Amino acid sequence: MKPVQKKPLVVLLALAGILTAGFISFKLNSIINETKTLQRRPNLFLITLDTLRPDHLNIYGYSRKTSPAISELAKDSFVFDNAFTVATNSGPSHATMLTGLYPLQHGLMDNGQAIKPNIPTLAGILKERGYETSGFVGYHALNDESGLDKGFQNFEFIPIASHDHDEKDLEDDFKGFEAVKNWLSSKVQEEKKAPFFVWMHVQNIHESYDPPPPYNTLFRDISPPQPLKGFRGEFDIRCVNDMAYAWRKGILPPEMKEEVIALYDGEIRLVDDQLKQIFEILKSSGAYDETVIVILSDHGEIFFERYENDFYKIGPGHYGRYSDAVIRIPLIIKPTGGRASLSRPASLVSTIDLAPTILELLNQEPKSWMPGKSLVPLMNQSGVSNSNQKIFINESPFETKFYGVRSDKWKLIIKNDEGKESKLLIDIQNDPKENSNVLSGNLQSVKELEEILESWKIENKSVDGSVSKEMSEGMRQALIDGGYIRD
Amino acid sequence: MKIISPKQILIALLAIDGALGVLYLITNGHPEWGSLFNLAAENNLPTWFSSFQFFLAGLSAFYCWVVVKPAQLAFNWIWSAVGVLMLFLSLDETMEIHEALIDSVMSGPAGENLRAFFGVTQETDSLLWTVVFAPPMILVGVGLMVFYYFSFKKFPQFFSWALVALGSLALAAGLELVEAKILTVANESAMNRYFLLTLIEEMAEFLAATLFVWIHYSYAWHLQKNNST
Repeated sequence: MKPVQKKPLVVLLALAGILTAGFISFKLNSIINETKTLQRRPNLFLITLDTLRPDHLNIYGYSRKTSPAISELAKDSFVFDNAFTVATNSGPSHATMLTGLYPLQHGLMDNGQAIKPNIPTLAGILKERGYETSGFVGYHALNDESGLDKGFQNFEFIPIASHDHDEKDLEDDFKGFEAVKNWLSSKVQEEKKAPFFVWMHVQNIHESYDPPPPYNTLFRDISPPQPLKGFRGEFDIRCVNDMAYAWRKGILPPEMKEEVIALYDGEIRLVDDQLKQIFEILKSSGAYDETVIVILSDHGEIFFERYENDFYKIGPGHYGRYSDAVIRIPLIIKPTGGRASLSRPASLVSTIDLAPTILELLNQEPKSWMPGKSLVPLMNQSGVSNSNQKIFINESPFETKFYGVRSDKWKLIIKNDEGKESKLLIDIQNDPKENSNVLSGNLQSVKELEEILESWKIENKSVDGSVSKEMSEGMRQALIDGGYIRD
Repeated sequence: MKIISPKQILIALLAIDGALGVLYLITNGHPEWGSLFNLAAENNLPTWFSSFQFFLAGLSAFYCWVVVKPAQLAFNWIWSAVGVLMLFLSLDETMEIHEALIDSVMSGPAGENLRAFFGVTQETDSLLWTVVFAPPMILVGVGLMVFYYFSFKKFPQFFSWALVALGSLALAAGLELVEAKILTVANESAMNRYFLLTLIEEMAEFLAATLFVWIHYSYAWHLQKNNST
């Protein structure tokens, strides 16, 4: 090829290059000066109330006045009537909320484990977008060993009072709230404010149900420690081990069951009063309207329910149990702005949807790796139930693998304990109290649900390449104390 | 003294390029040797070799300038500018100049918008420099292409290879953006793709540097040979 023939090509390439450079310069300039992504970055206040059953909140129809502040917030919020958790242990459940991934993806399958190091977190994403991120957790399984501190510039582990009911310093029950209030108060006073993301995990409602005065007797007088027939030593209803032992042995007096519920409700009211003060800080500073507030729980709780099927473990407690009392959670989302015509979506929704929803509410780009769907489109469809919607359950407490799928009609739970598989099928529509395992009479439905679960596993493959960290001795002891792992 | 021919230089540099690629593949994941030959990392053997190659390309451009100077043509001084450009690229390899520049851009609000637009994370900021500095890089590339075209009229094969070298650099720059996107996904297959693309990108960069050295040196070599005959 002679150079003369190349001249037109060179001229064309040069022109194309100059035009391309000009176009890229113009485009870059418009991206950099884009106001859309910068104009509104609302604050995010994520409140996870450990072990809170929705049916003990007034907005879900509870008659005892447990939650006036949450009810007030709900007037500005979307309240989801059919929200479910992905996991019943606090670690996996919170990891799903904070990563937008299922446990088999983020790797935190049981309390005491950690998310895989390469997993992006909501806090990390928001930090990159200029958010000030601060986390306050009250439970060992959520501390920095879990990896859930990733992306938080400030991360505080503030455990609540011990279970030594007579010796605990009651002020310990408020330490976590005080830390959040102090952080928020100083933050909202800053002149040059960056948007913030605060995650407050509240452990108070979790057993033992033992609120300090006046909440301990707010709803009912509580029996003092006393001898109980069939119980060795002095029986203290405020001690979960005593209470669980007596209940399982069948020696718990019926009136004491009411006391247990009253104590649980007292814990909720304590939390609600603290939330009221926190919301006041936001309102008085003018930050309330510019803050997305999300309240939900990581799981519910079984009290004294009895199930005729032998699959669900007896209460009280939550982990590894998949009755609706445990997997159904409250979900309240207050968007930015003043009061509008808000709705109560009735579709089945899951905590897997939380991270995509939050990103959309904060005007952030959706993340393609998150399997959940934003709930924002549902928020304007009051009462509409999507019968095709299914929620999935996945975790491995005590190294027993659980997978589950629940629709409006069915709930299938598959348990695999070292290769030994057992299944539970509940006909939700005809057996809302979940007494009967109808597996044998509905083999076609089981097959279909199993196929759905298999497809779900394939679509949400585990992310390989790392292993969970060894847990520290402190974490280990805390989880043994809580009954989560065996000594 | 025996003078090394352009062909010998080309073969030697290509052999080292290939060897570094192979060593990267072999030592990947090795706790001690892996980081030494990691093409995706900085301050290791591949970085120093790449810097050395651009240093040679700069020296050979100055050599061209010296050889063409007697002809007193109007644009001969551009060879010195090409030499300076190549020396800058050499320094950039070891001193991470463009990384520092991009950090200053990405730490402000502009960075937030760029990340949002390209859907990448803060961890991959350093790879976005290819987008931010694309306009000046394209203009420099076009300028080099035009300059080489007029300089190599008597040696059309050098112009063709110069286009290959410039194309390789453009490919390497484009791949850095793709790598930034890949790294935002946290899974094993993404990491495998990143590993492969890093290999292709760095090999393209090695090839470009090798070709620049060879083209410049060959051009000066031939000119000097013609002058002396």
